Amino acid sequence: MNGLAYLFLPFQQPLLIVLVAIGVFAGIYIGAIPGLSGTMAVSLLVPFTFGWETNPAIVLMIGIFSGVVYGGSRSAILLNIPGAPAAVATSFDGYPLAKKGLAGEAIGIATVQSVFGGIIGVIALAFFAPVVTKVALKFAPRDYLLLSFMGMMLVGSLGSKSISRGLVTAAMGVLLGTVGMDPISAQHRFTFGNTYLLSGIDYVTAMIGLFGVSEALVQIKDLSIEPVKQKADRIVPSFSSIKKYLPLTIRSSIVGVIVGALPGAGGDIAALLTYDQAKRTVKNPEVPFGEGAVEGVVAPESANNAAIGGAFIPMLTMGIPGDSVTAVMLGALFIHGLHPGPMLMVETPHLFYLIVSSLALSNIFLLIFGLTGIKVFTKLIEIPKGRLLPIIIMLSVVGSYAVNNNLYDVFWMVAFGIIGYLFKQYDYPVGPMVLGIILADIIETNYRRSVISAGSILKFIGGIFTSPLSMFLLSIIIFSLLVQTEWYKRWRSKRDLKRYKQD
Amino acid sequence: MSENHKPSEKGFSAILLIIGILALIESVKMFKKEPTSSSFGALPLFLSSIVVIFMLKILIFENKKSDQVKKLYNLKDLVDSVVRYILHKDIVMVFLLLIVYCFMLVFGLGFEFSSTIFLITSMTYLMKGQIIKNAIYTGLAMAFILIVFKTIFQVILP
Repeated sequence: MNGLAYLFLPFQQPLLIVLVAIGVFAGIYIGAIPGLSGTMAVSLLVPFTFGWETNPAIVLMIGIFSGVVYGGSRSAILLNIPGAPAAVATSFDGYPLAKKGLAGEAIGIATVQSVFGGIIGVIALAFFAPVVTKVALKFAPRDYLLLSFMGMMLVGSLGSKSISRGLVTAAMGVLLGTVGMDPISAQHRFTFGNTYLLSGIDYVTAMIGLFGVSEALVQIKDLSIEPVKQKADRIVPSFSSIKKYLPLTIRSSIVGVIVGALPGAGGDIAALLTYDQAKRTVKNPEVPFGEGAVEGVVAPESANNAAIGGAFIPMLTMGIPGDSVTAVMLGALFIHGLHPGPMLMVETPHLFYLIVSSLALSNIFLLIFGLTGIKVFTKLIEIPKGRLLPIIIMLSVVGSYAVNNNLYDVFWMVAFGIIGYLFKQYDYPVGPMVLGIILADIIETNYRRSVISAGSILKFIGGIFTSPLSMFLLSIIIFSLLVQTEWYKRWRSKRDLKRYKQD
Repeated sequence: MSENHKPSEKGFSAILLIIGILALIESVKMFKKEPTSSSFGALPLFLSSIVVIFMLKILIFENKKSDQVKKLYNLKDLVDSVVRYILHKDIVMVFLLLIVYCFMLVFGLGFEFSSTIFLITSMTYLMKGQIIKNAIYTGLAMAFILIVFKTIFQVILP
């Protein structure tokens, strides 16, 4: 019953509702502008909400997160440029619909189905997170260590050229996280006599540089992309069309929640998977997929919004983020003195239910803002990147300064921006690096705790093989390593070719 | 992998390998001070070893040059392609403006003045002119920052 009472927390503090609304509104526009990602928006927001109380800061970030994921569909439909990675699949049929003069209908149906997807995600979070927490309470320090490695590896392997690159950047991230004074022995690590480095590398500074400035620099290369203007009228969909696509929405949302809950797999993977699933399962679409099938908009849009609720499950219950935005939110929770993991629901249950209710509220605001103001919106997303990117860089400077009110941090942020830019140019993912910096403390603490309690490194390794849970986690790590090998890929392509020939 | 080869990808991977080796040397020094598996040098030693091992793997197996890249045996061509790929002139220009902006803040020229100069200059450069429109956008951005961040969020500006 206490949980239910906490669910109504935002209604006792109307400011929280206002902040969710502002977050969703801003998120829709940020998400719609190609090049502005949710990760960039939330990481820029962290230092600005640094001095706030936890609840307002968290609800604002949640609002932005929901808005950004949905907002990406707008530019995917109107401009054929996905505003966010999660909207890539939406552009396959959304843009052909817009070219037929049905942009309004496409946006309307995307909005309503996104809201349905989002609500299914919230329900899953509310019901499954407490169950996962109960299991996670039984985790030993070595299990947390394995979970952290698993999360970093999955974030690194998905969307990266190879798992080796993900592992390298993740390891570099943890190494950067160890810079400074060792909390146990007070020995200096990688400080090279620099007193600034004694307190370690600030992960907010690193986050802003790696996600904000680096992305802005990458975007400067593509300034020439001209938006194609589309007409968008008659946005509110009919009840019959909502009803017609509801079964597909529910199916896609369930897949979205499951994929979102997997560490490392976010809304983008969920959207692509469900698009593919819809293509194979929808027998008679009104028009073929890829030529403006409404089902091709419904499936990815409901899945990517459902994935938001799913992504919060591992983050809140085990401290392992579901995707890069939740990784940044994990960092934000640490800043506010909270420790996401099984104890979060025991020590601060109100925060969990506040997140659930904020996510539910954000879906209501998505419906309101999503179905209104479309004409102003089409004008706003046409702001040229040449004007937008300098503003993002300036916000990055302001944000990195705001963390410690120190100009030294601004130079570190610029350095991380250059590192991120180079990494992106050579296909080294930056997500695992940020995750590594954030999780470094958890990894080191749990590693040292496990080795000390086991007595020796050999006993620690032996302990993994005698505990079913540790063995299960290790199996996942080994499996995810194996599926990335050339040997496995060759075997799978041979198998697929054989099946294709048989068909 | 070869078909996706980027100019000087191998060079970049080699730099990362060198960074990994330097971190490994530093970690070994730390580990020698307290050679136990739970010491302050144990995790850095493990991580820097991972970096070195996987960078070697990347260098050996993932950086096979394509025929097109192999043709760039001329050092001048190679440098040109790297400069075009990494040091795109717009990126270099914006980066230089950013550095000047940071130093303007360090030398105490004030956030409002420095930011206005940075925004107008970089917008005018990237938009290739349109100074009046850029000034309007700069004014709006500055007003937004000062009202929302300074007044409402009470963020301390540089």
